[in-house]
Amino acid sequence: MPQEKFDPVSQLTPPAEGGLSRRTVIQTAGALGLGAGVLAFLSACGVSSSTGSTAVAGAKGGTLTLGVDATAGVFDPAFYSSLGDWMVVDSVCRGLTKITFDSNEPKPDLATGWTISDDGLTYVFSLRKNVKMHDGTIFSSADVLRSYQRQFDPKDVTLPKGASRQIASVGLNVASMTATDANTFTMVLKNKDMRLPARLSDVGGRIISAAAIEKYGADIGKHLVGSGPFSFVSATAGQQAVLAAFPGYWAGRPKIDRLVMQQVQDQSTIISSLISGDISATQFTPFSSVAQLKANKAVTVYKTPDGADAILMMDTRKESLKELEVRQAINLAIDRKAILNKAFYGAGAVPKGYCIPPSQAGYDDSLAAISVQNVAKAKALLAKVGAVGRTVKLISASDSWHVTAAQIIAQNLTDIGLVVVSESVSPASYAGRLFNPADASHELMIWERNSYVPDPDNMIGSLASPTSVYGNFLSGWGTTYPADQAAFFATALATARNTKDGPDRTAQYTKIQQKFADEVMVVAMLGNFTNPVVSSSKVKGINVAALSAHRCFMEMATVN
Amino acid sequence: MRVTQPSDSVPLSLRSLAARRFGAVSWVGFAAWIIVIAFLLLAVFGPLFIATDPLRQTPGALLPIGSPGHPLGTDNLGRDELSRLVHGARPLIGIALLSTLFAALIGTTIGLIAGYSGGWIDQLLMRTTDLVLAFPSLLLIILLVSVTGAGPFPLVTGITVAMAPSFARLVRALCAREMARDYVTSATLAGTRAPRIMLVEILPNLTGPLLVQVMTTISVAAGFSAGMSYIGLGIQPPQPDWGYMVQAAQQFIYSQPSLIILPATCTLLFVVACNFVGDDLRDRFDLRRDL
Repeated sequence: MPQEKFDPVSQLTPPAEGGLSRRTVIQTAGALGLGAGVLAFLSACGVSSSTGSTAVAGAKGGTLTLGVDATAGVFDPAFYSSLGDWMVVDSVCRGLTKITFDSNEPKPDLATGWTISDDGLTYVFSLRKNVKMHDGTIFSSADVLRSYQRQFDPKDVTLPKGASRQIASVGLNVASMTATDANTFTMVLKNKDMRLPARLSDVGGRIISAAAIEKYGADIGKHLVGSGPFSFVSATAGQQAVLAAFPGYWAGRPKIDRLVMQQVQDQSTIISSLISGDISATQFTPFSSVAQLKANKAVTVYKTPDGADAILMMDTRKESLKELEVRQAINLAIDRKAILNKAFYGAGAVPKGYCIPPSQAGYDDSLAAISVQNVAKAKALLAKVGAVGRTVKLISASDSWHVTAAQIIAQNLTDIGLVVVSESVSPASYAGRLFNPADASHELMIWERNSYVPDPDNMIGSLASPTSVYGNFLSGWGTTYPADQAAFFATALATARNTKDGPDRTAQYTKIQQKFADEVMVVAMLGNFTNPVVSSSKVKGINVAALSAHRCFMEMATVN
Repeated sequence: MRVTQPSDSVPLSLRSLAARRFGAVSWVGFAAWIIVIAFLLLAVFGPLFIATDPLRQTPGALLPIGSPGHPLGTDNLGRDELSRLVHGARPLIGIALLSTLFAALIGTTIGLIAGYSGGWIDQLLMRTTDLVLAFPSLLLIILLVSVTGAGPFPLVTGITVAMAPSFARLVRALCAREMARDYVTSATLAGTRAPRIMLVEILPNLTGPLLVQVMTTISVAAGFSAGMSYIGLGIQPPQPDWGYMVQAAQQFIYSQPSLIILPATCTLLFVVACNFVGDDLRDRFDLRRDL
């Protein structure tokens, strides 16, 4: 489109020799419009203006470029800004434990091991010795203590405004933390939590250099210092983050020289960048193009498990959604098959369990009835509470499957008698809108839950916890649901958390999910899906299962 | 002997009829007028003749052109493309017209006051418009829409704010020129009040250049409207809009290119045609001779 202002006054005077006539200017303006259209067309064809960083074929080392959803240029384990930014955190910092996604069992990482007291309340972590941080300091228990303090204490002065504190719920159960000595860290819990080592493997459990925290304070996200395989080099918000292989990484220098997280939001650009090699790999592959990419020898399409939940969150604090019946009606109105076919192009499954996806322990398809469409019942529920004709606001990110699902849901809700006001939001600012309950459109929110930690406690545990980010910030049910009944969830989740995987644990989670759906209903399942990982055929050694869950373990990757 | 005039033997074309009524019309200008009028009629009356609901989703997704019941096929949600194309004309053209109208009203008012008053009022108003002009239009609109939220009304507001200074500068320059003319002096000596001089005496003499500016602004505003919807800050889905339709169809460029080509072509045709209509108006009013 023309971006220059047209001012006829300047065109009223005869043109100087060799100058522009008015006709020429108008034609140029028209051409600009045409040019904009051509640009849009080229964009649609996937021609990127970005030079990007290319995986160097045949070279030793080289650059691995991952296509990511967005980057805000802030990389802080206590502050969620985008999935891409947290992949940077994952690469720069490591935690005491890690889950490599070949199982849901946590393994030692910066801790070499841990002991648990007989009562299950005291964890003593033995820390890895002589681990270098990127700022030259040696990793110690002080770094662990300081990093967890930021996560657990909402008043920590080094927290940026709007900090999400991913593992804050772990902190609610922590009685004390002690840097026993340089290589020993002790955590005492209030209540037993068998899943603690797994929960500490979350992105929020990543350890930052204490010296860097003191140096940069709340700006640590712009100068992230960890001990991971890659060190932070530079970042440009909205464009890319550049990381370099850290020669001092305790497990050995990564095989690639540079790791670049390149923001690529345009779907056709993702496809062409993958084929051309401008992007080495991504898990943000458009669902619509998976079949096409499978036929292309330049890329590899990996088979990954359905480990993510597509959900519709409902804010119980909002007048339009205050009645349980309205929320149940919304859940019953949704056409999941249409969402699976049109938003995910079949790359997923209609939910048969509830919040726990099929790839995880605890999945139970006896819960399938929760997510079955029943328009007549939905209409009856709305009529019962006099909510027919009520206006509800629906927001979604403007990329990926969100916007398509939003339109399907909008029609579903219209069909049962609600008036839907939809808004699609830039992916870069969507999370900010979601985590702001005061946002005017914070009513119905399309979201997805990925298993950062592949454990049922991570999925249903955070949704059904009245004190979690989901219970408080997003849905508000922790404040609107009767407190005495909310206690059930805290107790039941704690019990399930401390039960070994197996039928007993599954049964406990089934009971929790059923009650959560029947009595709270702030989460309507839209589908289970996988984030389709596609890489250049020259890329080897990436942890595909982890990348599909938006975790980034690239130390073994090669681009040769 | 009866002499037959050549004009009698040749059937009158629409163009020659237009030429008889409105003066010489170039082929390009004629085509541009037809296109603009056609799009305006499409926006106003088109939806009345399309029975299919542009929002109604059907199981038949991505049907090709020529499918039974869907002459232009369907989009990925099974919505009728023809219906969406016709209904999609309204937001783009409506926003372009409304924002141009408001920009013209605000800009003309500012320009008239500045040009008539002169002195510090002129300086204050013109420096203020310069301040707005200092921002690239698209950036200014994105800024305003980001603050107020996406949707048609914020979009109209944003485009109005961005485009009004152009009108103000134009009208101020023309008004200053008119101030030296005898009829203004006469009106002033006759004791006519300033608002009346501005509105009744001066404004009618600015019609030609204003019309040219209006047409140019409509085309620019239409481009902005489509562009903002394309980047998600304009008309919100599921409402049909040409700009958003292009954006939403990007992923089907290989499988169903018509989903992009049709709305993109409509947008381009309207924008370019508005420009050429402005060009034609400029020729008609012969603005250079006027000066």
